[in-house]
Amino acid sequence: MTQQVTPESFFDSLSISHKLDSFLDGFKLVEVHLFSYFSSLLYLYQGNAISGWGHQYTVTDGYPFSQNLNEALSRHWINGLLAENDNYYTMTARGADELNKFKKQELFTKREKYLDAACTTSILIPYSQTMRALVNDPSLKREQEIKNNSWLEQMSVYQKLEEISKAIGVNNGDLILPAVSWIYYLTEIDQ
Amino acid sequence: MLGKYKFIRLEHIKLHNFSLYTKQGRVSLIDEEIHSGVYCLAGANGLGKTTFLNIVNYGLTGLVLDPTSTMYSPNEIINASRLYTDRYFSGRINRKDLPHAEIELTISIGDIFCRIVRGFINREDIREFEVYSMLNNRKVEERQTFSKKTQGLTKQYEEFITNKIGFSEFNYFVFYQLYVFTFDENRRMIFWDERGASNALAIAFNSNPKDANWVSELARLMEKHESNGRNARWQATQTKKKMEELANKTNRKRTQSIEKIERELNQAYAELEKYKNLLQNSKIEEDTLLKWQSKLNADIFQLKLEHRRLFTQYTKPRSKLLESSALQVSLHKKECCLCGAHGNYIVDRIMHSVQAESCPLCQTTLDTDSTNEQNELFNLIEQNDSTISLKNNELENLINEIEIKRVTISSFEIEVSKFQMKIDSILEENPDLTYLRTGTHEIDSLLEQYSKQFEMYDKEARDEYQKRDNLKPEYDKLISEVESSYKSAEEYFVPTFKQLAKRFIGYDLNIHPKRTNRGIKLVLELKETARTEAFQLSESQRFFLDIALRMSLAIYLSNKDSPATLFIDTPEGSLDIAYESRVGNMFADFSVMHGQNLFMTSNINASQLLVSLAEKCGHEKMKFRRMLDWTDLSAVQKEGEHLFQQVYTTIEKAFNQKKVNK
Repeated sequence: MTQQVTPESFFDSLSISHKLDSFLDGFKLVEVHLFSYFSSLLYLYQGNAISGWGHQYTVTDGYPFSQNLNEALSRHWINGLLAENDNYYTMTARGADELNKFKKQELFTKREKYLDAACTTSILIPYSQTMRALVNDPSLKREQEIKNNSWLEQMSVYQKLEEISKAIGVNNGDLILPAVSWIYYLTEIDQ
Repeated sequence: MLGKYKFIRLEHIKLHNFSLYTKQGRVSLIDEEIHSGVYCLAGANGLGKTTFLNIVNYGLTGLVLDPTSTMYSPNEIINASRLYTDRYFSGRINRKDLPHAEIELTISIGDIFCRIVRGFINREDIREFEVYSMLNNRKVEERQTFSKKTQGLTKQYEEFITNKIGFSEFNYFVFYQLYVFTFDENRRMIFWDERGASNALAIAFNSNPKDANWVSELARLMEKHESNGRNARWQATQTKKKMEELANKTNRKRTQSIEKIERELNQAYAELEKYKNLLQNSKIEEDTLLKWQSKLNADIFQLKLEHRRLFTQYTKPRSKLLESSALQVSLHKKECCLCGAHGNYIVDRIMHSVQAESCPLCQTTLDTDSTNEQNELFNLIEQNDSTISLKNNELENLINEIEIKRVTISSFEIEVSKFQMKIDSILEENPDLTYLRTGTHEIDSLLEQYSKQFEMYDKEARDEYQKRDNLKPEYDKLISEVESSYKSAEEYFVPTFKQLAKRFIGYDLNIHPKRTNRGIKLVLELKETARTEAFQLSESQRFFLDIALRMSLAIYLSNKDSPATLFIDTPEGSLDIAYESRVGNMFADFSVMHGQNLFMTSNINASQLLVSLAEKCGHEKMKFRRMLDWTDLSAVQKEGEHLFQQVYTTIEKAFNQKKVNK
């Protein structure tokens, strides 16, 4: 346990886990990475420098993967914030308490809206569809295909997202609609 | 000085083929004996009285005066009137008569007679000239006889006249004859004209004829130099005016353009300086902000490291059992360290107890210090988060401020560039701005030319005035001599004038010589008031006082054996009726009392001048000649012929009155 845990990965993993746990009976850890990646796109979409997001992603088995998130999730599990049952995880009451303790902090409240917008699509769109769409992200697919072990490059995806949002007349301050539109877009290109 | 000149007396006048005087279709031969005393040619207007007087003067001098008020000096008079003379007779003489038309004059100067025949083709057309003396009414000695073929008759004649009269030059005779001894229809008043008076007096009152000539020449030269000087000065002044106008114009232009440009340039420099300062200050401020940003970033970086460290610390496994080697081997091997059971469930059950903070073996709840430690870490994390947040906000504001500063800097850089370009542009368009005089090389060049012209004219003016001034001492000396001579002449000249003037004006007049810029003139004192200007006397007063002065001069200068002859053209024309008789008396005194001659013309009217003159002179001293014999009367004149006859009758009565008085 010499690896550091970043505040961003600590909170993102906890927050996304809590949201996924609320929607589902249990979630897989790769899904936390996936929604974290989707949140980073929205963070970029709203004009923030991606370097300020806090963690980068590679692609592993068709899913985005962040080492920082992975470390934080491990800690959460060891410390009893997440419970595992046959590779599906749930958030413990301890985990929920921990989230409530931290989500008021300044650093995290700024991130929460991106995480919330990304995960809210699961309410608006069937989770299976959302999952399928997100996995069909062109960048993910591209990295999957070339297997170059590169950092996921979000800029081209961001540009496409912005293009779609403008086409549907989305206000830059809103994040839910672009998120949903993006899922629909990905669904469409998948079909 | 008294009686220094022997003046001419007209003895006989013959006028041949002068077409103007035509009676009943034939050109009259004018043949007039002129006796001493008064000869008065009377006739209606337009019959040619003035022409006759001019013909006689032409016969004597070869000139008819140009009818201008300008009074020329003796040296100028011939050239000044030559062209007018050439034109004067065309129209008065038919072309066919011109070759034969001639004036034949017999004059006497003392006891010497001279007969001259002059044609009208040109003034040097002297056809006959003879000099003789008379004894018992016969020509006894032909001193000189010249034929038409003789060359140089004009010169011979002029020398004869000059020598016999006593003038040093023929020009003086011309001057005296035409200006001083002739009062013509142009009414030139010689004694109210400084130039005329100076010349007349210089000729009259110079003991040395050469001096008279020289004083006249000096006056002419001085006048010429003064005129040249004046012209040059005028040119200089005009040039200076042009310079000033040009300078003013360019100054105005300079004010309007160059100064405007300079103002713009100065403003641009000032603005450039201002924006450079603002830019410099803004860059300093930006630099400070950037340094602060760097420090903030470093702080935030450190805080984030600390935050990460705290989180790492916070998230480390809380159960101390996990540090147990037996438990770690069990988890690693997935095997119970006590019973040796094996499987994934071993890990799950061990971790379940650990997460529940109870012993996996005895299920005892562990009393750890982790909660307090976690709370302390949480507090630190919370504080750190707060600090990072503040620092981030601070950084965000700082970044905004830097952005604004950069925008400001950009705007200042644009302004600096703009004003630098403006300065460059002004300096490029006005390369001489710093050493401009007018701003235009062409104007400067013109000014230089004007300046040179001015210097040239100024020098010329000064030189001319200097030449004039160089002559002045000698001129003054000669004028002093004239004054001195006049003083000696006053004893006779002044009483003569006063007597004649009193005859005319009715009271005593004083007369004084006065030095003027142009020489000397005579000033009259009328009722103890000096009358130096013409406008201070009535026209008739001026005319006849001027005639009185001429008469006085003639009386004073003429030798008793050779009196002068004054030519007066229709004097009554400008006379107030109150003065008619008085002028007649003055003329009579001149003729009878002083033995001088009058050759005059007169209109036929009821003027008391002729009556009074006839009464005083009588037939012995006056010949009254009617022009009726010379030329035809016009219809109007014929209608009034009986009136003319009445006038003649009146004058004849006046002549007879003289006899009665005798």
